[in-house]
Amino acid sequence: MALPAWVWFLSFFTLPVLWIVYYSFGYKPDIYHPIATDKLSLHSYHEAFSRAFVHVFSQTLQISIIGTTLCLLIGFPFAYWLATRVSPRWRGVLLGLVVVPFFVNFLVRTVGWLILLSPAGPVSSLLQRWGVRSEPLHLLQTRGAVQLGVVYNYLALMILPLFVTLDRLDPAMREASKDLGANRAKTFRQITLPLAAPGIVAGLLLVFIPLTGDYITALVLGGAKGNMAGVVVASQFTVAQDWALGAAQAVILIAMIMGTVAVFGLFALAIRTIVRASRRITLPPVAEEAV
Amino acid sequence: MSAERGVGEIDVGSVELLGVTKRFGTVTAVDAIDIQVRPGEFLSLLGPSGCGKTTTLRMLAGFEDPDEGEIRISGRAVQGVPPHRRDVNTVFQNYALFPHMSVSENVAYGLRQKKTDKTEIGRRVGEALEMVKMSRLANRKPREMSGGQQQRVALARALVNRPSLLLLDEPLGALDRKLREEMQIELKLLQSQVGITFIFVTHDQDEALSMSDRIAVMLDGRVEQLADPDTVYDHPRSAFVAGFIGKQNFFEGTSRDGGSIVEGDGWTFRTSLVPIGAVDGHAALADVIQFVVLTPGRKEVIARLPRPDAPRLDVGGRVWCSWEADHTHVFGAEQAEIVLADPASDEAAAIAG
Repeated sequence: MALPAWVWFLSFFTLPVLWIVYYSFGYKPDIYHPIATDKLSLHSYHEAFSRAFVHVFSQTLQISIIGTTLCLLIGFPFAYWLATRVSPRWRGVLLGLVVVPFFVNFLVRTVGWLILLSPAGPVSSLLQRWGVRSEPLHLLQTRGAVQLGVVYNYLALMILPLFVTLDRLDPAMREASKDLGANRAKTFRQITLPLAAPGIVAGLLLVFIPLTGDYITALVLGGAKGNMAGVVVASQFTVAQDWALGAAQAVILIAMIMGTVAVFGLFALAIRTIVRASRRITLPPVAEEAV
Repeated sequence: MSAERGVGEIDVGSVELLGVTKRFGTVTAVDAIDIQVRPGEFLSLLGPSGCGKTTTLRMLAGFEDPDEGEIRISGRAVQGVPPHRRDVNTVFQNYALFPHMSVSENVAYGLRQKKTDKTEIGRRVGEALEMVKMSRLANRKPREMSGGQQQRVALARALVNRPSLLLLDEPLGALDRKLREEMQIELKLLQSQVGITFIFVTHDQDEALSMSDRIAVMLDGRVEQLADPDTVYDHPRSAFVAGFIGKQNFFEGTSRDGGSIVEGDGWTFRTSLVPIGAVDGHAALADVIQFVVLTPGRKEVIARLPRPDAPRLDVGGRVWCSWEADHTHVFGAEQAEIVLADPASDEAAAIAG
């Protein structure tokens, strides 16, 4: 029964990725051909590590780490409030409001922000009318606009897994903690947070991975100042027609995502080990009772 | 434990509920109840679901605030004192053990919040686990244990803090019958050993009768009767208490001669002797045989006899039932409705002997 899953995984994931890796060692022979692989070299990687591209990669990592963190900081309080304070009837409505934007195409949603944030758009004109600003707002084509856009586009992917774990957390757990002398902050730190950890990890991965590779948000809202690696990779394959460079950049992007996840995983593991060690208590030896 | 109580703290472990009322929207869950609990007492709050017993417990723990009235624990008003600052611990209905912590970490939780010294924590957790016979499973996780074992851990987790008041919210409800009866005895022994005031919420009358020093029988947010088990059993103050506490036969009619004769639509009999009727059925329940007898006027009488004494009776056989006159209680007509409305009376049976 596991065979179809493996076939699927192999033909639609492993092989294409290997193909990309293979192309990344090729080169662009002339302006008429995007790729040649008769001579394999690391040439494309040298090019991919040029100063301009390194800047884009580091900016991508910054945007995605800040964006994922913001999603967590906004999503957790919201999911917690939704799971613990809101009556079940309203919970459904609010969850619906979180999900409904997903029914709309990703590009359309992002273009919506284009209208909203444009210098002649509603945000800009309202700020001018209220006298907050004297001139039109120039938010578009900046890194800030991309940052805002990715948080908006990926927030729901953070909220949903968090809500599910927090909703399944028996309220008696928090009550038992308070009953045993822990105030709200201690209860949150010692009970709610560790029990919500699987949801937090799921949310972080669900947001961080697609966000780092995202190119639509940056393409629509970012311009030259808000560039992301995804845009660069896409343009190598489409505009520049240099598939070897595009493939090398794609491989670097994948490595960057995996590396960041691995570093985060090790960090989380270290914290867990420390927390567990601090919680452990040694009982004095007792005479083994007869069974 | 008693050595820790100074002369001036004679009230430690006392509980007073004075006119305590709690409403949820339009529903009055607890309606101006007055209960005084003595230090070291085992008090049960007994009643059907929705009678306000759990709400009362939650107000004592600090999870709910009363709308009216005053709660005093150890002589001090606890109005506005949050749960984590009350000298009260709770054994929750489904134990509420922390799934990410081992047994010993669960038990240590309360002491750690008070910044107790680590070796002291180890010593006291060890003692508490020994007390509930769980030392061997100290490193298990809650999900690796049976309900009865989790129950013991929950008890140790609460008692290790040496609270002046322990609240137990139907702690034995999820256990099977045999284990429940064992735990009843153990819990009672434990309570006299530690000398802590126990307030025990249950809907099981046998449980309340077998463990409590006193029982507060509750209905619709009010205390129907607050007395020791014998008094509640032998002298129920209302028809509801009689119906809820025991298995009773109820006859509706007009009573004469101080209740020794009851007269209904077309029938009259002495309340200690039902006229001859026909056996309608019988069933063996654990150690008793239960007979259903149809008397003239289609009154159903349920008689339960201990198994060794029970005669062999066939369905349709003619029998008469009698019982001691002082086992009969007469309640005013205004209470009839309460009894009839309560589903528990569907299975009301007699203690005819």
